[in-house]
Amino acid sequence: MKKTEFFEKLKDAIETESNIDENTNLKALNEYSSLTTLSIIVLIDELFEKSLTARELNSVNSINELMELIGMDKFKS
Amino acid sequence: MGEKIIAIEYYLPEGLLTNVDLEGMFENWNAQKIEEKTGINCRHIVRENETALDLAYRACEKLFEYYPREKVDFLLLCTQSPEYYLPTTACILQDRLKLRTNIGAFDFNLGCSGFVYGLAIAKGLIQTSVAKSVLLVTSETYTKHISSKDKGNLSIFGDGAAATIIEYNDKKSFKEFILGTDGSGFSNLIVPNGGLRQRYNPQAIETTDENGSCRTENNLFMNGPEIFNFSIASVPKAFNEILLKNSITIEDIDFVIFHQANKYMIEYLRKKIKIPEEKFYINMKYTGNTVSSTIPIALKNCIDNHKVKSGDFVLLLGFGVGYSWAGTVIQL
Repeated sequence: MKKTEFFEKLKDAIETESNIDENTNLKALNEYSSLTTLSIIVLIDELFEKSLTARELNSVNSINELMELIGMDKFKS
Repeated sequence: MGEKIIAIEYYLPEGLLTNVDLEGMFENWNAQKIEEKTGINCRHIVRENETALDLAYRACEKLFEYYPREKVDFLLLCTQSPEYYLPTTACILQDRLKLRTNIGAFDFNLGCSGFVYGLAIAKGLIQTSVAKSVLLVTSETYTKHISSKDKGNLSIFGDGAAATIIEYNDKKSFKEFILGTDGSGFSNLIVPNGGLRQRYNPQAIETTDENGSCRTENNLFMNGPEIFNFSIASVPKAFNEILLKNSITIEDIDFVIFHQANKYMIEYLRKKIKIPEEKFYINMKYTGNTVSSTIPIALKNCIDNHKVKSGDFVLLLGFGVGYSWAGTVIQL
């Protein structure tokens, strides 16, 4: 998947107005809450059929870190 | 020899907790957003001196307005909010309801899978001629376990009870069951203190999680993301096992009722499993997640609103705390 496409989907899932890229700090977004975590779990299951543990998700700050958890091989620039 | 659900009633306590109340209680907690994500507008909650036994009693008395209580020869009570360690709450309920004394009664401790488990137990009791009229009661007051500062769990759970009569019948209307257990996830939905492993601790330290919800180990804890992961992994699998075990396809099913955990989760599960929208029930707007009672409440509402009719095949699937899950197909 193209990185830009992933950012768009992530933006929809989080329901944020802010523009996001790999350097965005997820937890710093105003919209970030326990509900956002669930939306991210769903998105990653839907797109990559991969499940991330709560611990992994909690450890994530930047979107780049999230992409590393999913696997960088899944993305192209 | 078979069995059939004859009647269902439910009771919700009078106290209400609305999304607007929650918005007033917590910063950055928006009423509309809670409803969009959870599908819940308000939940019924018990008063300080009201317990799961009281809710169970009320639900049963609604049944006995038209079903003769003398017929009941087995009482099953599913609850994780018992009156005491001992005796079993079902004994107290038997007495309060003035049921016969020559009947069986016991509690079983399960959450969201409890109603379907209860149907499986009732089927076993009836098929082995132990009982002919089983009163299955599910009653839960999770709000008593939830910290008043825990906005996440307060937004999800509501209290309530349901009472169901399963009677001996010539026709087998309960099809094959699938039951599942994975205790490796036990600590992801738990009230840590108050049992014998970790006693209730009045000095328990309050902690704040990354979402700003506060609780102590005397309170209910739910690791939302992990419960979500469990559900996404186990529910589609369990759904297919039910179809396989009954040698049917989704086309043979008239309606599907899942445990009403939260709208967002079960809507995602519906899409993932590819269940047609018109065959799928989502409604927890005025109840919240009532744990073991969500399925009987949904079933009763579907019958009353003619979403399902006599003869329909309905697939039921409960999943959650334990982890524990249970599913079956019943013919109404």
